[in-house]
Amino acid sequence: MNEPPNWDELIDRHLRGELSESEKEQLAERLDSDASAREDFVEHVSWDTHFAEALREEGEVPAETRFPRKRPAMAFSRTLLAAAATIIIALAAGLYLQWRSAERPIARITGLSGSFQWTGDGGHVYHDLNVGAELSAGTIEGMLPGSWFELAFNDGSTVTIFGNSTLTLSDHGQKELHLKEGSISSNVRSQPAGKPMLVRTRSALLQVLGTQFEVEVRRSSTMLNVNKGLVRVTRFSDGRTVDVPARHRVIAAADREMRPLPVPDSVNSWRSQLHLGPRRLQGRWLPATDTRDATLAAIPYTTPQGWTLYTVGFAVSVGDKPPVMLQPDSRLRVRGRVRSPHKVYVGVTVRDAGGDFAGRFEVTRPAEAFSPGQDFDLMLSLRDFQLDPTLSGVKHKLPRTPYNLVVETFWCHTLDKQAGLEILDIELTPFADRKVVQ
Amino acid sequence: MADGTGARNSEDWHTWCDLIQYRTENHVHDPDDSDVTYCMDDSQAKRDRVLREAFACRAELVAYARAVLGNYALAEDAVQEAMLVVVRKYDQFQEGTSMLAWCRAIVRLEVLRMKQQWQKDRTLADRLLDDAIDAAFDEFQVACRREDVDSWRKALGHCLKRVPERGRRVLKARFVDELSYEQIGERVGMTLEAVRKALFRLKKQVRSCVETSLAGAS
Repeated sequence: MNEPPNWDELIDRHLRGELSESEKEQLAERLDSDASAREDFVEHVSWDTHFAEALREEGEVPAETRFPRKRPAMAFSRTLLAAAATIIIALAAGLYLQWRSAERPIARITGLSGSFQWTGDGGHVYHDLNVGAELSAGTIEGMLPGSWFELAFNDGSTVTIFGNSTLTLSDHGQKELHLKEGSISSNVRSQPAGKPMLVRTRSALLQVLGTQFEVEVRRSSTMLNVNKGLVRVTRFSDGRTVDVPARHRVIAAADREMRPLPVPDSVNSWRSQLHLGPRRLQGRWLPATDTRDATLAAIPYTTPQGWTLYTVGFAVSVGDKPPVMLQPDSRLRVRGRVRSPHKVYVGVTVRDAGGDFAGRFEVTRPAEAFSPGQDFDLMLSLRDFQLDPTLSGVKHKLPRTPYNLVVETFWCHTLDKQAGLEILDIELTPFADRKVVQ
Repeated sequence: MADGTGARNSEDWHTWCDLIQYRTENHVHDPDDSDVTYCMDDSQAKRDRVLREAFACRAELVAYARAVLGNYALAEDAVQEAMLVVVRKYDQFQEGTSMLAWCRAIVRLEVLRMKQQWQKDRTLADRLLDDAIDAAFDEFQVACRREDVDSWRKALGHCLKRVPERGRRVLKARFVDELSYEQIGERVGMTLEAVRKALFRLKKQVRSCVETSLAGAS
């Protein structure tokens, strides 16, 4: 098809809402009057969308092979070959030094619980991580909603990764974190002048000189909560930059105003809202039908130790919602069903006001408490929740109870058996608030 | 409908189950358990089939929604909402008709709802363009990629890896971060004209690579 030179660009810009009124008229007129333009338009839009989806799924594309570049033919003289050899040696030395830099330890693990996967050391994948292990540049991925992983850089700055998060870290004289998804909290020591710690997400760049903050990343937005100090945020969609002071938060997203606001006061009640869709959940979300409400079904995860958990998780104190804090008299109501009776674990992962991991607390209910295929309705007192036994090695660092701590996630699971666990609703209420606990 | 042995062929399914449903609702006759189970299985099978086919058309539906909304994130939201409608109303899909057209009609309603919400002051040019785009998709978007989508994506992933670093940054800035030409220029240190040319060239290069890969594979 013989198109005017700006046809592709016109469509490209239309797909991003960049056309002027006259350009819209021009596009409409073209589509109305020319069948081949309509066909081309549909094909172009389809291609562009597949292309965009592939790029979004791709994330960082490794540079394996490249399109050959057209170069003029060249007759190599000995001098040129000698110069080329010198350059190659210099480049190789540079690459070697860069490789050495990538391999040298930049941080060590100071705490972990749950299941994680570390990819570093030239692409090797490790599951058997231990406290004290040294880390070079690489990527850490949380595999379960209640997981927690803390590392300390060589200068003492710490980063804590929660739940199903994916974080890449490096330090070439300037610390750089890429948070692909999930949430982290960080306590950053003063950084060298001109080299702030950088935190990159899909939608924003954070520059941190020395402070305490939490970041949560979703596909198109970044939520920053600053506890101490100051963080500079640059939104990628338009390059706008704001400074976020202590006890303020901001959400960087293309479709909303980027304005730091004071962190709202904490609340003591919370309720899952599965009818609104699969948002901030771990599990298989099943929409409502005429005969049943929306549910979240447990999905299996096998730990490197060979345990298989069938788990669901709900992220709680996230986004622009106020932090949810537990009280001694809090009650947790869990409604759901199991296909076959099995012991069920119900738990909460908490953090302190500074964003640091503060433990996982859980309670179990025996198989006898459940009837196959029947809905269950558990009313759990927070006083019955105990520290997860797998955290016994670090219990001296953790509070003994989850009281007055912020809820990171609620989770439920069965162990080593697919009991068909489905959760209909989870609700946290202060004891006095009886009207919602019926 | 049913032969003497109680067996039914697939063409009889829907009529038979409609009758069972009618009798049950009107207390004309209590169907035996096996009939109810049979019809529930049929309903479940239809639900699974409709949802599977609808979700296979997701990319095409996002493309349509993007074309009308001019925004990727809103388009994804519109399709997500439409899919929830599909889940609720799967039984209204008429066998033998186009799944893509049915889903697109649902997406269209979601898109219109969003337009009313986000673009309250729609101009005449907006309305003309919306109508023209609807007509174009009705006419030329007739099938989902379905089976070949995996090989297509694989080829695309392979071809993207061959784009030089700077080119990938330009593509990513445009397709992932949705930056304008000016913003891309600032990010990667190129003039506006260079960005425009680079995007045109890179897209053409990748598309040609994908088509060559697929042709070679077939």
